[in-house]
Amino acid sequence: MKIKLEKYLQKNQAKLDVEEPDDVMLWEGIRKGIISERKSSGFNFWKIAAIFLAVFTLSYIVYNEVSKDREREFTLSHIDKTLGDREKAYRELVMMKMEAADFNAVQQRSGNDILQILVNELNELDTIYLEAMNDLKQHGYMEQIVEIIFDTYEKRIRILEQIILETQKLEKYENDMREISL
Amino acid sequence: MSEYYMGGHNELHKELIDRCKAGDIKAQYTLYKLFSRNLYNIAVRFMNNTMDADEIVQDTFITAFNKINDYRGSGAFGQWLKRITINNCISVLRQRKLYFDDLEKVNPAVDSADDIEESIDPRIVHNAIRELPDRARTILNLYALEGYKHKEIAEILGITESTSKTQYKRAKQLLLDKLKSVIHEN
Repeated sequence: MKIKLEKYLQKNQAKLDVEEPDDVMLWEGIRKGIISERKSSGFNFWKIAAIFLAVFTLSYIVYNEVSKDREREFTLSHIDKTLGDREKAYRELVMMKMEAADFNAVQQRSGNDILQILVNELNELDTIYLEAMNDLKQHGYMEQIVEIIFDTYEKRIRILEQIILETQKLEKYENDMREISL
Repeated sequence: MSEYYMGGHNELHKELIDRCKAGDIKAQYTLYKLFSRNLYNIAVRFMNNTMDADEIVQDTFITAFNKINDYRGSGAFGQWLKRITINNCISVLRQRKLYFDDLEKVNPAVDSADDIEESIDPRIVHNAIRELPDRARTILNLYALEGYKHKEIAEILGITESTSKTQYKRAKQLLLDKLKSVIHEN
């Protein structure tokens, strides 16, 4: 029975797929290609790494300077012992999360958009924190400013937790890659 | 089966795509397995060799997985992959300048009826398509197999719409001649 060529092609399109790809070879190339693309976005990685360093250096300085200043000038503990204790608890929690974030591990991995956003948010929090502390030094106790300071601590903790999760996700991705390549 | 996967079941793919967006390599591999055979065959039919097809399929998936966040889910994922594959094929053909074979020089023997035996083995048709000259093969693939309109083909290839129509007619005639010749030999 005769059929128009176009109709035959449309009707048998799936059956025309007669070639068999070499899946092992192709997938290996794709896998390497994905890794290579990630590495080639090294600009972002180093940018992120530099920002991380800047953020945490800044954070470290801020915390230490604030601690020293507290001794001779103005600290939340001077306003109120409860506020001082609360700030101390937050600082300890932030430091704990910073250690858990494992920056050596982060630096060994290529950056991604999510990390970039999180780092930018940390930078913004640093700026807000510094401004709020300056306001406190200049104008004395203001409840709103104290709340802003605590708010930056809370947000910093949440962001650090997200960084930890993102790093763990990257680790899992690498392990899965290794599993599939075996 | 491939068309089943290429065109439909967006919900089935959605979960895999979301996992790919989150960087899940197993989901990437599953999507690869779903679409690779069809994309590979498309590439072979465009390029007429398996080595080029290998590279094109790899490039397609690397591009797709790296740009998967750009995929908004407005069309079928398979169709998105197909477009990437076809663009890659045309890009390679253009780079090699093989693309601009002058089909005007090709004179099909007779302008006969454009029908074939329904029972003809698809493998024979696939191989006959591969043997067509570059431009004839490209236009036939785009129009008859991938559903592009002559206007779209004209834009892609930088030719006029009427040239696309004329050359498609010639390509179809060439294919029919080849098929008749193969059947006659058998």
